Amino acid sequence: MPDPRLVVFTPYGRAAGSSRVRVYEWIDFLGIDATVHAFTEASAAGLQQIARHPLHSMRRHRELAATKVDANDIVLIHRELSPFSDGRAEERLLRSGARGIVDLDDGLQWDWGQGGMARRFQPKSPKIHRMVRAADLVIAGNDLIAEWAAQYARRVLVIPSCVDPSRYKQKASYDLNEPPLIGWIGSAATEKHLMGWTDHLRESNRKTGARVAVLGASSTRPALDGMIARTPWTESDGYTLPSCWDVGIMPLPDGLMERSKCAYKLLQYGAASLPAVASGVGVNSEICRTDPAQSEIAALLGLLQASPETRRRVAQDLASVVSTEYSFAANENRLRSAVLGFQDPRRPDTFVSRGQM
Amino acid sequence: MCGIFATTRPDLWRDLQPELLAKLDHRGPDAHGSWESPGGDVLLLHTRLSIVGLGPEGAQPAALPSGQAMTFNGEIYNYRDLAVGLSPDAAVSDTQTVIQRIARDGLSAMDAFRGMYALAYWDPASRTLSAARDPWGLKPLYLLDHPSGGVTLSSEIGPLLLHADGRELDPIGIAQYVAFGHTLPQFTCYLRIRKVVPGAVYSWQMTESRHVNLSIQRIHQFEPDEVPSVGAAMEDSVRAHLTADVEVGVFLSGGIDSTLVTAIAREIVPDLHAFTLSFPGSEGMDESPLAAANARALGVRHTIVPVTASDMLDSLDTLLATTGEPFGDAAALPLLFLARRAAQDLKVVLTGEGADELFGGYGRYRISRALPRHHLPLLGDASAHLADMVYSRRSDRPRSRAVEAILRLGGARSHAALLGSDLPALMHTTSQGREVETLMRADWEGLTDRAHGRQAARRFDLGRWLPNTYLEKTDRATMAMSLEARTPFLDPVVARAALAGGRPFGKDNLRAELASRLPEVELPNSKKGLAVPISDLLRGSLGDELRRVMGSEDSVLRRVLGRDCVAALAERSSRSLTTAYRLAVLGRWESMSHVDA
Repeated sequence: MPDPRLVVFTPYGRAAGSSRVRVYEWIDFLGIDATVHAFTEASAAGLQQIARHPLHSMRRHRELAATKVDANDIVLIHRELSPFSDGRAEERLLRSGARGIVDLDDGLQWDWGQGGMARRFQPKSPKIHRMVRAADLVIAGNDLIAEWAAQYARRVLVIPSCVDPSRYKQKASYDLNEPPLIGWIGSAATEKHLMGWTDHLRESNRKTGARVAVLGASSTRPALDGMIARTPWTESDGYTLPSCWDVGIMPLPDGLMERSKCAYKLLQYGAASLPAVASGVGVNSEICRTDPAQSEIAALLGLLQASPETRRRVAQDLASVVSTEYSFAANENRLRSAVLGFQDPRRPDTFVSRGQM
Repeated sequence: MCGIFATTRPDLWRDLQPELLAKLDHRGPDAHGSWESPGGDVLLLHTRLSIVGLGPEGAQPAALPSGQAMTFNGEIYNYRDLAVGLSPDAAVSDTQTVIQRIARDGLSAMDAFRGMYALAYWDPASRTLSAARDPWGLKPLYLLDHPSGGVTLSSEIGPLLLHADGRELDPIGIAQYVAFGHTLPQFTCYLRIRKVVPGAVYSWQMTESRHVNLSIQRIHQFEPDEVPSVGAAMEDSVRAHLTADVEVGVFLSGGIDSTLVTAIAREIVPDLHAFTLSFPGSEGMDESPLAAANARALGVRHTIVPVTASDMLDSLDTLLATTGEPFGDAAALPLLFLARRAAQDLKVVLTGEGADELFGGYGRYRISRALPRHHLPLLGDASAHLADMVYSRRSDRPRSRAVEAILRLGGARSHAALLGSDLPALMHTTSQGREVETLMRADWEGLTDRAHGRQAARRFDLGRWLPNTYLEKTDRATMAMSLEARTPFLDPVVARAALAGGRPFGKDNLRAELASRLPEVELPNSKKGLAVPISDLLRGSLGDELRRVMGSEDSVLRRVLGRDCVAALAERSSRSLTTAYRLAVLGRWESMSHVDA
């Protein structure tokens, strides 16, 4: 029998944070020989993107839904096959191979079309339920997703979103830029979260002169015009630019979807040894262990007005958490055995290959 | 039945052991124990209510010479069968059976357990703490995630509130309570405290730092090979549920379920003792005369326990003090009072809980059957406006709930209406309400698994409504009085008999089984359940709590859900005693616990 082949489905290309961190960078790191099928090479697959190339999108969906896998293959579906799928194609693929794995890093199980009219007619929740029931293993990005999946899935394993700090340029000096730079990485879709901190950022600007450096977003939101500098996202800038900022931020409102997030922005800040302030929502509060009694604006101003040594210490604490708990190296064994082997029921964190069972 | 506590952060809890054991004392007043692993990785605590294996072999936390340790709450009725091949201790105490089986066969040993349980198990070789609840969700287990790393588990919320990490309120959890009278799985009214999912085994492997890596596997509930008749299954289950080294009694109402349990138990235990509530002055709600007639016919010792509104209000404070979270089903109050009286004579009682869900006994299933099978988005929008109008004007009566459910055209929203939820008041006024609706819809999608009609409704009730309302109510009310309640209907053998293909939906087969054992049985004309005169409760101090929680600018309700939501709920509470009671209990909980939003 030939060696098992890893066949991976993900909706986006490398430019999308979710696919990059849950699929592409993992495959790079592990050095696994895998076949990756992406619905699009772009960073998003929303209505706007599909409307630009509707025929191509439909054709691509049909190709993916018709994909054949061998009985010996390991099938891993990250999020979904395509925005058009209703779960049946995913179910078939997951049951066709030697093992079906679903990877979830977001609260898609609670997506009932909150994203607008198009989503309302094709909510993701039913398909995610179907996939989770069909999977041999669900890999969840955090405990909240894992505990939800455990109601329906046979086996669930938490593997947090991870980064490789060695890819990131490390921040060397903690003396402030002139003016100070508050950094944020994100997309147009998530920029609303940044705007939730408009008052905080304006007050920081008023008290310290700080400006906001945005990597990746292209938005027409005017709220912070005059104090924002935008840089389009590129992979190399993602690894180098955070080290040039003074403080990274990750604002999030408290809601189900936000609690399901995997704190990728914070991990990037930590990987670059950048001190950061984040809303204490979901995984954020476990990574950025600042005093929960302190308000967000007080924490932000505190960092901007602190000594370089204090900023260095805060950055080192964050970098240490990222390195020991949220790096590819720290989670390599868990993921390698989860993807390539089976879990031994007597030892919940130990996996053996199918041939040994 | 017992109280358990386990943590991977002994450094946070070590000094609080006396307070923790005191908080769990009502679950196990017979003995207290603690165990800490040699390396200080985990701390286990246990308070014991001695029922099976009264000697030292049942002492807990239990530890094996090879280093594994466990704190366990519950009963495994087939422990003698499972003890084959284990040390002699295992044939005497289910505690020894459980730890030895898991140590020998791994966590999948739980697949063979027949019973109710919540446990925490430490394996030093893999540095893994595992925790599990039985598949029905009969025994509670709460989980606190520490923001600085590590987890703590407890049978009740109260002990977890002794540390500041547990005390932050969760607006989404509070919205769930207001909507349904209880919180959903994965949630409580506290942000960092969650319920362990029934039927799942969580395993946290410790890393070099205090971080723990979580993996979860399902328990595959033990099933009999053959489909038994309902009568044979019930007889087998009642016999199993009578396994104890102490006397076992029964809670007897006027209905079919508890009367059948009593009739079967009486055949096995000649001197059976039954307890029934009565509500003096509320004759329309009082089933005690029927229960007395059936008890006489069966020849059981029968104690009728009258309960007044004042008794029930005392029960509410006891309940809130022991459980740490509001609970919106008023039936918990007389049940606690009944448990207080029964506990003077007994440590264990059987109840008829679960039969309505398993056999399809609720009248609302007739409505579920008639609802549309498929979602109708456009028609649904129009109909939803009508449904909202009905909701805003309807009472608690099943018929008015049914009208709202029909207008919601099926699915989760219809079922929420049938259950009497206040979801519409929240959905239209708060973001938390919309989050709760999302959770309800996802639960419906997951549990019904593309079934429809009354089959879908029953699946939802078995998976959600039963564990989160009735089983929580029973555990909280009885364990507050150190009394173990056992539920013979919620048993894999009975479930197989009830849910087998071709078996009729409804309780005719139970009625026939009861008639064959007790031909002169007297049953009520209509199903009453454990009806409670809520209006009597709201006349006194609980009414003051309702006015305060609705009117005060700084009440938890207003701070968490906002002014618009409070206004909508005020309108509802003027028409619905259920809503008024839920809100009043929230106010009482706030007054007692001095919560900070």
